Amino acid sequence: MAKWDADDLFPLLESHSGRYRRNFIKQAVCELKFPTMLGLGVAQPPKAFVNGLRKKYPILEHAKELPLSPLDDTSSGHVHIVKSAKENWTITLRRDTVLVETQKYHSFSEMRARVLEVVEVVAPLIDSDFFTRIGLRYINQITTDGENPLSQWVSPGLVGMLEGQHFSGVNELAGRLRLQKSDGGILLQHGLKHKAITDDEATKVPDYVIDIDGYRQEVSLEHTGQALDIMRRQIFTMFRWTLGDRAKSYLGELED
Amino acid sequence: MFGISGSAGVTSPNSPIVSWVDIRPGSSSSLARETRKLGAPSRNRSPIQGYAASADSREVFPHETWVTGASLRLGLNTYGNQPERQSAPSQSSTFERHREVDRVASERVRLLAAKYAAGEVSKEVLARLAILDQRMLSLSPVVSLAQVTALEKVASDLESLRRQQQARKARSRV
Repeated sequence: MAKWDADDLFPLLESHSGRYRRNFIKQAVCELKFPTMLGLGVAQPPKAFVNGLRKKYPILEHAKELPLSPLDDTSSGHVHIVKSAKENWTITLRRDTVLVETQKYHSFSEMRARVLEVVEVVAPLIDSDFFTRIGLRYINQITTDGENPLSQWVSPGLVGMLEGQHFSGVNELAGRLRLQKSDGGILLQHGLKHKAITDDEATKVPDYVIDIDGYRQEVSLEHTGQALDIMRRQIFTMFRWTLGDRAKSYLGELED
Repeated sequence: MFGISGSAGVTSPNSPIVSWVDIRPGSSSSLARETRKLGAPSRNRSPIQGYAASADSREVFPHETWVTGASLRLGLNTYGNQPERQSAPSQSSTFERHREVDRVASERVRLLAAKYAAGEVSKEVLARLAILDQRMLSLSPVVSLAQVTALEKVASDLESLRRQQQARKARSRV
């Protein structure tokens, strides 16, 4: 059983396998970084990559990254993108990264299965038996009803400074918490997301973004699943801590 | 409570739906990766009370005042130990071995050139260079076992000749 120092950043929920009936997830992404393979940055996508994922991801796209500076050849290269039929899932292959991302997230088990399937396909291509970094990131947008105080939707631990102060013209409220060990960590970024599209809605309680990003470094391919599992437990535990009571009610009971 | 400082990167989606502007000094590299931003553009609006969207609806973060220090360093020794986990090329023909040496050398040169041109490189480039270096050593070592054996034999022969010479000198004195 693989273990990382970063696993012990904070106590985890006992019901780690639980999930809610609904979610606030706007985007979920898993990033797998590996030692750079210049050959993957050519215009022609690897046949094994396209053929191995064709069934689930029949849409093929191509892009080219431009370097940040004229001298920087390491970031330039061609990017190969395959998408599911309804374009809900996207797999991106670069010379040092493979991304699995979605804006229609349903369950961790589905995310995990897709990531492991992609790992199986790209393993022969990357000429490495380890990932330099695995990242798992969930961007949630808590949609308030616009009426009840923000502290009922988001944990007072994050927005408590607004309570009882009768502030007006609150334009920004944000924060960042990074917990880190040598082999991994977790980053919480949170902040207001204004609903305003009309003058009437300008003063309504805004939405709130909870963006949690976990990662592990130097993970062998065979331990990818375990790394995802522990990161998901940490992210879920932290996410639950960021919620107010109304948000928890909206999400429904925890299911096993 | 306060742990290791330094940048550990973020998981970067292809098309991020949120942009967090990092206002820490010397952290401009993160800005280049953000593409789209959340937030509806506000119109001319004066806040009465409660919440008010501004013309600039980006999310920003407060400055981190207690996290300082060096960035995470890549230990090449870590990656140098990795290659024994890489499967060594099988004992194929000499021709294939030479071809593999050429391929590895060529990729190594390209990465080194990119590293030189860029100045700063990613951990992924350094990791690949370490893997290629180890692979080159195993495919084409600087000194082979046969060469070491030959050198040892020469040293042994020289020692033997020296002893014989000393013995002859000692006999001639007598």
